[in-house]
Amino acid sequence: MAFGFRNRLAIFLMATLVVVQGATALVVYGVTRQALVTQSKRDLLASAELFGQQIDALSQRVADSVQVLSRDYPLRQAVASQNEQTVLSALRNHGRRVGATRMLWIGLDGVIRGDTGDDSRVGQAIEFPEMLDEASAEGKARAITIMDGKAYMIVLVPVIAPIPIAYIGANIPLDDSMVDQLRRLSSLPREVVLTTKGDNGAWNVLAKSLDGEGLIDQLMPNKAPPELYKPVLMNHGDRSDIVLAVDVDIRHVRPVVAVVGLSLDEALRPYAPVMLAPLGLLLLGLVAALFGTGLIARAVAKPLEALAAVARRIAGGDYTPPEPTSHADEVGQLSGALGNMVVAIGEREERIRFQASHDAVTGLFNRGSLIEQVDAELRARPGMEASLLLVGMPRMQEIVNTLGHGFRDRLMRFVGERLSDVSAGQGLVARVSDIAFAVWWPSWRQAERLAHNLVAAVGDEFREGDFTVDLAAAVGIAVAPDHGSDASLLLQRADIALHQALTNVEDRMVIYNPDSDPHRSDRLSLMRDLREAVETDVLKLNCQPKIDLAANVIAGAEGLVRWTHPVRGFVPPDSFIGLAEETGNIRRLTQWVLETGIRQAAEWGRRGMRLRMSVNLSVRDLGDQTLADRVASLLKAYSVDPSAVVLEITESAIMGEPDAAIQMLKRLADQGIDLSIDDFGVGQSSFAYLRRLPVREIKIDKSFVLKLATSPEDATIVRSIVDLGHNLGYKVTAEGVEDEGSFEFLREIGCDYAQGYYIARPLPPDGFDHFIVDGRWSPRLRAAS
Amino acid sequence: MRFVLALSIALLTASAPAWAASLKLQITDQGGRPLADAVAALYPDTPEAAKPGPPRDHYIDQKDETFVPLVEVVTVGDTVYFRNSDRTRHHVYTFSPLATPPFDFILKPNEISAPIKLQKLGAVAVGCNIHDFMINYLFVTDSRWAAKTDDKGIVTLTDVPPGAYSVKLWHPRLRPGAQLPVQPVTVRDDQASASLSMTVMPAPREDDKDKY
Repeated sequence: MAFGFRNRLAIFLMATLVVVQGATALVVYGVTRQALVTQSKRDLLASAELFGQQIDALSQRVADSVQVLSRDYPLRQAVASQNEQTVLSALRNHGRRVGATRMLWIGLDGVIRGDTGDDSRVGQAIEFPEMLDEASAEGKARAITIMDGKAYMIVLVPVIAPIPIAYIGANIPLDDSMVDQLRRLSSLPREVVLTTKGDNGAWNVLAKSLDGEGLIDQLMPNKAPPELYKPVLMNHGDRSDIVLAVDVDIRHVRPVVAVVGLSLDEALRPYAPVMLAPLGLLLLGLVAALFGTGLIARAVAKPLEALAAVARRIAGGDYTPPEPTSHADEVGQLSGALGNMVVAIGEREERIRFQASHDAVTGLFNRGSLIEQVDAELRARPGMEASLLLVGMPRMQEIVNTLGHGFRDRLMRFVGERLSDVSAGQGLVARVSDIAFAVWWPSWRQAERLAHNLVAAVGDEFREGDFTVDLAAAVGIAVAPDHGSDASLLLQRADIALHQALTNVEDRMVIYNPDSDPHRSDRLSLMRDLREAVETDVLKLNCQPKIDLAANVIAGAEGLVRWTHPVRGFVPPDSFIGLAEETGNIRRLTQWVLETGIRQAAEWGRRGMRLRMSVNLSVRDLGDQTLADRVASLLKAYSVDPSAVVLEITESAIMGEPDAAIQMLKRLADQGIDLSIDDFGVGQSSFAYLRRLPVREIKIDKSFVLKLATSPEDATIVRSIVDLGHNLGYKVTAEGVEDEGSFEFLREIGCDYAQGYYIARPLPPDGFDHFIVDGRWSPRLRAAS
Repeated sequence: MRFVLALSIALLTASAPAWAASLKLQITDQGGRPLADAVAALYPDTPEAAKPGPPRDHYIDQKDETFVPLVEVVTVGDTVYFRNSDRTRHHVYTFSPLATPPFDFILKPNEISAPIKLQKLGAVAVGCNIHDFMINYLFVTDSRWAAKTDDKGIVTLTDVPPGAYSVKLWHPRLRPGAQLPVQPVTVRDDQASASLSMTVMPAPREDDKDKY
């Protein structure tokens, strides 16, 4: 990260430097070059003018020299006397002095009389006769002419003796060295070329200065000069020149143009060091940027790397705060914040860990923590002997319902403290549910004694203000390794044992017994078979008639489900209904019973009988929000009046989940369905509580009715219930009527309905039909309407 | 020009005396400007009418580094002397083939040259080898009537009997080597005149003295 940061910073700085410096250099170069071009053009024009003047001055000098020569008396004498050899030798002699390669002796008629070069032209007229008059009038005439592709400066002067008697011509070649000399004199740049346009229109090079090759070859491929007196910038390859053409302003046979070139590169050369300066500055800047970014990045990155190391350490669980830094800047603040964070995280984690492993109310270990510790111990010592004691209190649910959660918490705290005291030092105490504690005891030899101690310790009464609760703890014990090799299984088994202990009045301490465990695998297969039985309709709904004691007619029947397993044979209803409740299959079963019962009620109705079908609901059914709708749709489907159906609920079912149960019961009652409390008298419910329920009927538990004929106490209880029930507006049904004495007693005390073996066993449909037809009682018929 | 000439001839004819007259000639250049120092030599169409006069001496002075006069009309048989009136020496010479033999001598101040006789007709240019700008023309003629024009380009020839003549003209600025222009003129009265024109080269500029 430090490397990346440093690099990015360095690259940014360097790129900025390069761009800024580069742009500056480009601008400076462009401006300099432009200024130079402008200046060079001006200079070139001046120099070219000077060049023309130099040619003029040269020809003037030559002309003066030739003129002086013409005054030489012997020469005049020789000319006058037509002494050819003398004239020629004199001309040769003088020609060398003025740098002429050729001297001519020309007659007044313009005919060449003598030639120091060769005599091939002797006797011919000169090429430029118009110069003769000028020479006569002005004393001299100058011209540039081209002969054999070479340029010559021609000077013509008359020989005066004292009248013109002849002319002398001098040919001075304008060759490369002459051009170069003129160039030096006119302070022209290096390259000068003289060109002329031939008869065929093509330009020919007449002469050039020493370095003139490049100018011709590269910039003037067709030798044509640019427009006169207009400096132009010409480019060829990497070479840039300012080129200027001027005409040579002397009489001429053909126009001669001088082309001068100025190498821009050469002109720029003095500026090269200036242009190097930005490069040098750039390099200096780059080195400084590299060095600077290195320092800055290190200053930033080093503390950050240290903090990153601290952060990694924290992530690994080491909450040692970082050493305070001396930095007062952001890094220092960050470091300080990190330190505070570490401390805070450590504390919070400690708290969370405690909360995660402890019960908030009692401060004991919670269920998860217990499982963890037990598992750890079991893993550490495989096969160890130990016992898990589960402590619960019967009726705790009712106490909580009645006295509230705050009371429950205080109660649990009290119980937890007692348990901790008893098992102090050796046992591990945890709260494993709202109303249950577990004690992990590293042995099973003394487990039973411990259990007794626990029961004894909790057995005291719990007093709060003037309110006292009698606690009666029950203990379920599972031992390792016999009942399980891990905590979950041990807990489950202990729970089963506790469940038995809670329902066992004699012994408050039960050790798990695999034979009585309802949660064994064979029960699961039974459940599967039950589900299949429901789906394939192999269950039977038997009906036990209910007699209206006053009218002495059959008032209805209670539907009781019967299952004959294809292999196991008859399965007791308590067994498979309990199983269905525990495994979540009760809804299916209830649905079957409801539909079958309602269908039966419809059947009776069609046959003109007004028999009410009573169907039992499970405690689980009351928690099912869809129950009311399902009943309604079934009634509708079979066109059965709601009053033809009675739903029976046990006392304990209502007590288990009072609020939800009451809600559901009210919804059913609103539909016009009568509700009945089953097994009345064995539960803890009171009439006052029942008053809140939309119930129309109570069924006295059969335990009160069975010995009714022989037990005066039972008779008293039943009479009281009947009276009380009637006073509260309930119909009262007595179940378990097995003899005539009981039957008649019930009729005498005004009980409304009787049901039992004395009247009939639960009968299959055809048996019930038989009972109606052939029995002692006739059914209540529908009122004619 | 031709019209003027014809008119002049008509006037001359009207007033010409029988035996002698003066002929006044106005000589101009091709631009109509009067030409000074132009020489007119009159030749009668009938040669016997010309009778040569007695020989004369001609003195050509050298004053202020100038030959004076510039043009001297010399009749064959005349004698010419050069006289140095300056305080410098003068080297008088001529390469003219008309001077036989060519003369070439140095005159000290106040010295007078030996007599020079010129036999061949034509203009003999005489110079000074010391002062290149000095020039003098000796116009040698065999004409009985020859003279040079004055500053107004006028020359008067006297004692000219009436008759038909040819006038040969010469001037220093005649193109070198050119033939002398010849023009006919008829003298009918004692006072005849004519205007004649000739083609000459342009005059050198005044300030160009050094160049000659």
